[in-house]
Amino acid sequence: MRDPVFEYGCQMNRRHFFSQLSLGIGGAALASLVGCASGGAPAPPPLAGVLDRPHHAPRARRVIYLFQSGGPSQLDLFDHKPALLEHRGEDLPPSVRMGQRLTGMTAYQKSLPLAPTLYPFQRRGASGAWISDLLPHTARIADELCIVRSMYTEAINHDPAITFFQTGSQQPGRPSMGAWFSYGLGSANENLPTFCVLLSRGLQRPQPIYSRLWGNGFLAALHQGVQFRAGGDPVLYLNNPPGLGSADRRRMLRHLAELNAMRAEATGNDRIASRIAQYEMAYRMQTSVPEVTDLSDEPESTFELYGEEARTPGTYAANCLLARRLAERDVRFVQLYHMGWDQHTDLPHDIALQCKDTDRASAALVTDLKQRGLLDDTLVIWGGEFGRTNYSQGTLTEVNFGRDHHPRCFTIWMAGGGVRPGFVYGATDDLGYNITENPVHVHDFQATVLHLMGIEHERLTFKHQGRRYRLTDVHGEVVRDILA
Amino acid sequence: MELVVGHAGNATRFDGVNFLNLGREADFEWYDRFSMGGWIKAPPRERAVALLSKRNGEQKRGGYDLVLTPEGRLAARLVHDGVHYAEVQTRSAAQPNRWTHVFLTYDGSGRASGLRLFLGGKVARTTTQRDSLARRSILNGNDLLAGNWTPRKKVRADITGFEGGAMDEVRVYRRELSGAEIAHLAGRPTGDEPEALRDHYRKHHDAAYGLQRSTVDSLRRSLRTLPRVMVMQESEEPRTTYVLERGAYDAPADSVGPGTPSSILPPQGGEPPNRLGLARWMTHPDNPLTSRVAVNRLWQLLFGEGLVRTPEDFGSQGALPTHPGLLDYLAVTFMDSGWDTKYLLRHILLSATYRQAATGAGRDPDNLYLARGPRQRLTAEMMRDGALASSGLLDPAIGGEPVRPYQPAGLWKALANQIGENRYRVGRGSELYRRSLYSYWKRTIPPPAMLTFDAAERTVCTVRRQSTSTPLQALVLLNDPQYVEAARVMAQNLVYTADNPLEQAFRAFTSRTPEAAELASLQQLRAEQEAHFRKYPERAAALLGVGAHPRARTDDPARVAALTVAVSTILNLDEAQHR
Repeated sequence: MRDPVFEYGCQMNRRHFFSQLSLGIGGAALASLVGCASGGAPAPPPLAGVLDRPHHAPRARRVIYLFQSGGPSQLDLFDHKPALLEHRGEDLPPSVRMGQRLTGMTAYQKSLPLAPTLYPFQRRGASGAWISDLLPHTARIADELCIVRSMYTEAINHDPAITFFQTGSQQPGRPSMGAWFSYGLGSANENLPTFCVLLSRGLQRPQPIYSRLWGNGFLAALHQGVQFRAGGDPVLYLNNPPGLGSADRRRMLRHLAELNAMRAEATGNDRIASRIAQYEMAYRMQTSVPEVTDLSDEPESTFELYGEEARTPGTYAANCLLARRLAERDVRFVQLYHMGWDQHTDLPHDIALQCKDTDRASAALVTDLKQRGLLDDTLVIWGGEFGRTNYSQGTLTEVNFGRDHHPRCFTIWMAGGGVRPGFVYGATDDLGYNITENPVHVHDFQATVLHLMGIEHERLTFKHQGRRYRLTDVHGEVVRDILA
Repeated sequence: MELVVGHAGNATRFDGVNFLNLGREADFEWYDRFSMGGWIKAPPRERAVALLSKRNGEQKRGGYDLVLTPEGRLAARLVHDGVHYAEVQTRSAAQPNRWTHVFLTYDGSGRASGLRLFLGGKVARTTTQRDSLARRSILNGNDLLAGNWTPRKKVRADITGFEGGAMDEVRVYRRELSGAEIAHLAGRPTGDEPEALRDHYRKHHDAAYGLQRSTVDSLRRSLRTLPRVMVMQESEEPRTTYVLERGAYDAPADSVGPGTPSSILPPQGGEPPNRLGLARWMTHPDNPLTSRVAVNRLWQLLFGEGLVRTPEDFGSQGALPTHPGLLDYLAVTFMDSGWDTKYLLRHILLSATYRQAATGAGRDPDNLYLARGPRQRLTAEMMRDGALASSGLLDPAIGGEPVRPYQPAGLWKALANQIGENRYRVGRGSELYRRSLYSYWKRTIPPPAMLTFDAAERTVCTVRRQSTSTPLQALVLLNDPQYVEAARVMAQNLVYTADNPLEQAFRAFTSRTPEAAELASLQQLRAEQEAHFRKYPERAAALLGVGAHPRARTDDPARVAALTVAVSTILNLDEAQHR
């Protein structure tokens, strides 16, 4: 029987593909879709980016960014400061504070009593990196980690600080990091979005986050992050309306393609080919998204690794597992957000819960990627938008205290994807307030991640309203010391 | 909740954390008259305790409350926010550990003087703590609580739950009670108090007074619906403005004053250095920029690209106009018409240039020579409005409050928590079918279906949108209830009335008559779907249930459902997404 979709797909060749590439969808998806053999030639990339090829050989093909929203306390997790114990309860010396502006939450506090962590630290692995007992699983993979203790940022409140990390600007309106990768490198797979977003939360009522954090800013909508949701439609509008089954949809799309193809023939309009491909890709997403989110094909050992919560959709553990599944399918940028690190009060109690929710799965993800041979070209990033103060917000007691936002120093870690494993970079002073060695600015971090993906951060730009923009604005230096 | 011996029968005793939820009935605005109170028995306390409170809940702002201060004074507050509120306090105090009748009445005036407090059935002398509500809204959508200030176990230094306190005979009225009524509630005879009786007579038996009162009430209410216009006013003492070093707000450098770039048009003598002066400078007939920029935007709206292809940048980095003479002609025409946008649009739309066919690209793929008509994908708003208009669902009303069309459930809740509104309440009736211009827009979580079609995020000014193609757009047009409903309603309207429903639907979405082969394809699809839906009538019923618009009563479900699928196919055609 004559099948116009099939025939149309067979007409597609490389030249067609490139000539008909509207911003985004190429006809190649269609050719592969209808099962037309392409004569042995390597299939062109399904969705090209603005760069023909990377600027240099990439060390990472994909990124999984485990964003710890709220500002995890570096002093209780990674930055070991025994001196705080000696000075416990003493006021933060002005010579250390050096005029640092404080948030409204502690700016008017009568004293700023230094608060040492209540949790012991140990040296871990062959590298001997200090990691708190709060993170036993992370401690076990210490030799995979590149720990940066000297991160700093310019923002002191959540919204501008997260926006800064994601877009390189504290003011909203610029594209998110994942959108830049989509714009620059295009997609490496045919059935799934290039930039996927997964959300989870710890404490019941954490600081909120916003969908504009994974927005495309002034880039094309094609590059915006696609949120995967627990339950219902895993991706918005993915499911057919009630009463309409997959066979109905297939039939309808077949007629739609036929009608579009007729019009293309009648008018010679090249662009219609990509419209046909767009609908085919949508149809395939309807299959591939449920397939990637369905964990029933995972063996028991997976849940032993990630923990039982990984069975519950929407948890951090389930999202880490999902991130691995997306990485396996060559999704270029997976952005997780885990909310709940904003411990202004009751920090010792709350941070323990938060670690319990995240420690095991974060470490499991790195372990799992490694055992599947994916860690070499997957960059895993763990970190928040700023650190926390070395002094207590509110009253310091034997068993309780809080910590305010601290932009001057905090810790993140990275693993795989071309960073030095078992390596600690940067240092802070004895009281953990200022950086003393190798400061890494947010723009430096962004430049480094771009570099690892094969992009020179100064050369990936987009001209908008009279000037060229880039993720790192007009700043940023690649941190070469942490490259493997 | 502990029951103890009350003033009459049992009373409720609170533990400082628990509370009685009195629901949403007492959802009073500043212009509502209301009264509330009851019997209380309060132990001594260190912090103020909340007796009745509609302050904290889903929303943390606004509302009203009745509290007992550490000194035993009764206080009432009507709150808009931390700055705008009215508060009065009694001068005398309630005795601890004794049943005391406390009551509050309010006259809807929006002022502290409209609050009256009663202790033991007698109006109490009060002091005004603050009187800055100034008729601002006190609505917050929270429930009224007895015995606590918050439904959550939260600790605050200045207020706490009614720990160890008991309440009995709590009453809430939607009117302002008279002193005599409150005395009666408190079990105190008022026969010999002429002032209380006069007050009662006025409030309940004086017809002239009642008439005046209802006039005042309705006028106050109308304040809410009066259109308001923001007016800028120059401050008498202009604030000094500084250049901020590297944009940091705490690094002021040189001070700067108002001025306009004289390279565009030298300052015109006699104009004040304020907004009025700026407006006159911008619209001065000799100013070459404003009108050109404006007509270029309108040209872009119609042709997809402006005569200057960098509409945001007419400077040295921008593009030169492709048709400088035309740009100037239109700019002058626009000014001469009195800046009449409609006139200018009509002028362009009636031109031979606009009315050309959009076919053929030839050697001018960017259409720089304007030798063919414009062709561009519909914007997010055009797409949605077009589907609503074609299906007959569109409510063309102009102006009014924002509306909330369909949005997938849980989007706000998953992200927003306590910041702003956290529940998206889908609109009703015609609110679902207004032009997209009127859709409510939350900038932190914008409507996803609009963003998918390249609507601007509205975080920074955007004068030119991208136009991309992503599979998610296909999913929206195929599955978003807004579009499925549009197809369904169009199908049910056409199924019996039109001679050829498919042809009519095709024309509505593509502005042309379908070719025979096209019609045949659609008819085949429709026939196949109809056979399918006859076999599975429950599926037809499910599809026809999409959307809030009522189903036609006498329809043949399989037939309408099959036509719905065909109309949805037409709506998804490449041509239906372009103009």
